[in-house]
Amino acid sequence: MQTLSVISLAPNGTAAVTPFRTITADGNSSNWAFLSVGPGVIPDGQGGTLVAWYIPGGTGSNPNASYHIADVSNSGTVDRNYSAFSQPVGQMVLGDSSTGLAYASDGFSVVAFNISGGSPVWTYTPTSNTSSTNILISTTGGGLSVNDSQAGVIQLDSTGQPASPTASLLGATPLDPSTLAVNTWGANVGPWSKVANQQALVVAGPVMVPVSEWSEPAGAPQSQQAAMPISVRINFTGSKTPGDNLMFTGANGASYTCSEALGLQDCTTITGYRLWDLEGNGHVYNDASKWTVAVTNEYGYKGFYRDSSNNLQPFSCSQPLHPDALNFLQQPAGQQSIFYIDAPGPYWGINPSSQCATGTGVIDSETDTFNFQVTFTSKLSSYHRTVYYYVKIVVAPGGTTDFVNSQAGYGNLSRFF
Amino acid sequence: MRRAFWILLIAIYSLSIPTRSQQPYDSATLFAQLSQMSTTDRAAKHILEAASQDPSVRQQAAEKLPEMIDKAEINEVWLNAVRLAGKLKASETVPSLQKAFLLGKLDIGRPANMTMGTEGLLNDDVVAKALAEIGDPSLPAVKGFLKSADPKMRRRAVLILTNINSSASRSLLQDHLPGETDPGIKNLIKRWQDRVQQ
Repeated sequence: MQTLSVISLAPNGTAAVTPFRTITADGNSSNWAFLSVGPGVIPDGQGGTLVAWYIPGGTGSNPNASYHIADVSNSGTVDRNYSAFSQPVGQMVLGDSSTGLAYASDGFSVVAFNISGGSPVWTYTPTSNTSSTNILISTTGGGLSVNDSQAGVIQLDSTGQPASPTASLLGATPLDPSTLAVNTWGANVGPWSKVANQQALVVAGPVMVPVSEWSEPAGAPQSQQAAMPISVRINFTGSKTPGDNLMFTGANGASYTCSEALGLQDCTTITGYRLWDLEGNGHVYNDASKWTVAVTNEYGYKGFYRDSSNNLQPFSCSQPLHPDALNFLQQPAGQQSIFYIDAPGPYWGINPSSQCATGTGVIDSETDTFNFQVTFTSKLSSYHRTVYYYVKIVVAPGGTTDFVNSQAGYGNLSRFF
Repeated sequence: MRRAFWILLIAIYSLSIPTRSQQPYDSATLFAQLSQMSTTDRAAKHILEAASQDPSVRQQAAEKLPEMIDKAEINEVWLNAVRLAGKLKASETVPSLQKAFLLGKLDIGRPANMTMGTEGLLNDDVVAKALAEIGDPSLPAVKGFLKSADPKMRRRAVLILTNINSSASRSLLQDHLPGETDPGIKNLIKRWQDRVQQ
C-alpha cells in the first residue's frame, strides 16, 4: 500500500497532513505513484491544492501508466486520470477565476479541465507529432498561450481553438504582461508582448491580466514557484461583481451618474454626462486591508460644438497624467477582494473660451479618451502591480452617443488622435 | 584704467538686472487685468506667480478678492477670484466664500471631463475647493455648513473636511458622524475614515 498525502505548513508553523489517495503497489517501482516533478503542487485558486502525480506502469498491480491530477481541499479530494496524457504532467496553470478552469500539459498535449470535478473541457494537440508544447500563460476570459516548438507561440481561445501561430516567438518566455504596458504616447499601447530572441514583440490583443493566482507555470513572475500576490481585473460591461457594495447612484453614489450597470451610459438628460461605468477588482491572497490602491489618469478630447449662431466650431482639451482620488473603494479587513468603481465621461457642453471646462457650447461630435493606471501596492512588501486601461467615448455628429464606436479595455490609447 | 572701466560696466549691468526676488510687479495693473474678461486668466496666473515671490502682492490679493467674490455676477473673473483665494490660502476671503458656498454647487468652472475622483477632490466645486485649500481657517465656516438641513450642503462640507485632512478637520468629522442622518454621507465619512486609518 502506498498513501499519497498533501502536507500543508501554515505560517504559524503548524503542519497538516491530508491523505488523498491510497494505491496498491508491490515492490516494483514502476507500480509506485510519483509526484510530477514539473508542476509539483500549485494552489487551486479555491483554497485547496492541485497535485499532479503519475504511475509509470509496468507489471504487477499497476500494469498501465496513468497520469493524474488531484484537487485536494478541506471538502475532499477529486482525483482524475487524464487519458490525453502519455507522459507525466510537466506544467499546470490556473485560468481566469471566472472560468473555474485550470490547464495542464505533458509537454505534448494540453488539457483544460474544471477545477471542481476535474472534467476535461478541451484538449489541444499540436499538428506535428514531433512538436513539444509548453504553456506560457493563461489569459483573461479563459484563453491560454502556448509555445509550440515547431510552429511558435499560439494563442488558444476559451474553447481551445488556436489562432495563427507566431513563429518569430519560438522559445518565448513569459513576462508580467501588465508591466509591459508602458505608456509611450503616440501609438496604441498595451498589447501583450513576449520576449523571444532578445526582442520584445507584439503577439496580439490587449494586455491580458487574468484573475488567477497561478497564471504562469512558475507562478508569479517576480517570485518563481510562488503564487501571484494579487490578480486584477477591470470589468467594463455587465453587472458589478457580487460582493461589491459600492454604488454609482443614489445617496451612496456620485452626483453625476445615472445607472448601476457597467458600460456606456447616456445620462445627458439626467445629469448632463455621458459615462462609462466600470469596476476594478483586485483579488489578494492575504487581506484586502493590507494593500493600497492608487489611480492616475490623463485624457484628451476634441470635436465640434455649436456656437450661439448654430455654426460648428472646433474644440479640444488635453490633460496630462495626474493623480485621481478613489473615493469609491471597498477593501475591508478580513476579505480578499478589493473593489473600486469609477465613471469617467464628458459633459454635454463645453465652455468655448475655456474648453477644458463645462459650458453652454452644445457638443455636436466628440472623441474623448481617458487613460488610467491603477496600482495595487502591498503594505507588507515592496510588491506592486500596475494595470493600464482606457475608456473612449464617441459622440456622433448630431450629438448622439455612439454606442458602437465607444469602447473600453486594457492598455492605453493615444490622446493625440 | 581699462580694467576699472570693465569692472564698472559689469557692476552697472548687474544692478540693472533685477533678481527674481526683486522683480517689480505692477500690482494695480495686474488686479485691473484680473477684473477684465479678456485678460483675467493671464492676470490670475501672474498674480499667483507674483504672490509667491512678493508677500505684498499676496496681501493686496487678500484685500481685493473678497470684494470680487461678493459680486453677484458669476463669470470667469469671479471664478479666477475664487481660485486665487484658494491657491493663495487667503483666509481673509473665508466670509465671502462662505456666502458663495450657500449658492450651491455651480455649473460653471467644472472640468468637462469627470471621474468619480474628480468629485472627491472637489475639482468640480470651485468654492468648496477654495475653502479646502485654505485649510484649517475654513473650519468654523465648514462647521456651520454641517448643520445645514440640505444633505447636498453637508456632503460638500464633508468633502471639504476630507480634503483638508488635518487633525482638526478629522476631529470635526468624527464629532459630526454620530449626528449625521443621511446614510450616504455617513457612509462617505466612514469609508474615508477607514482608508485614513489603514
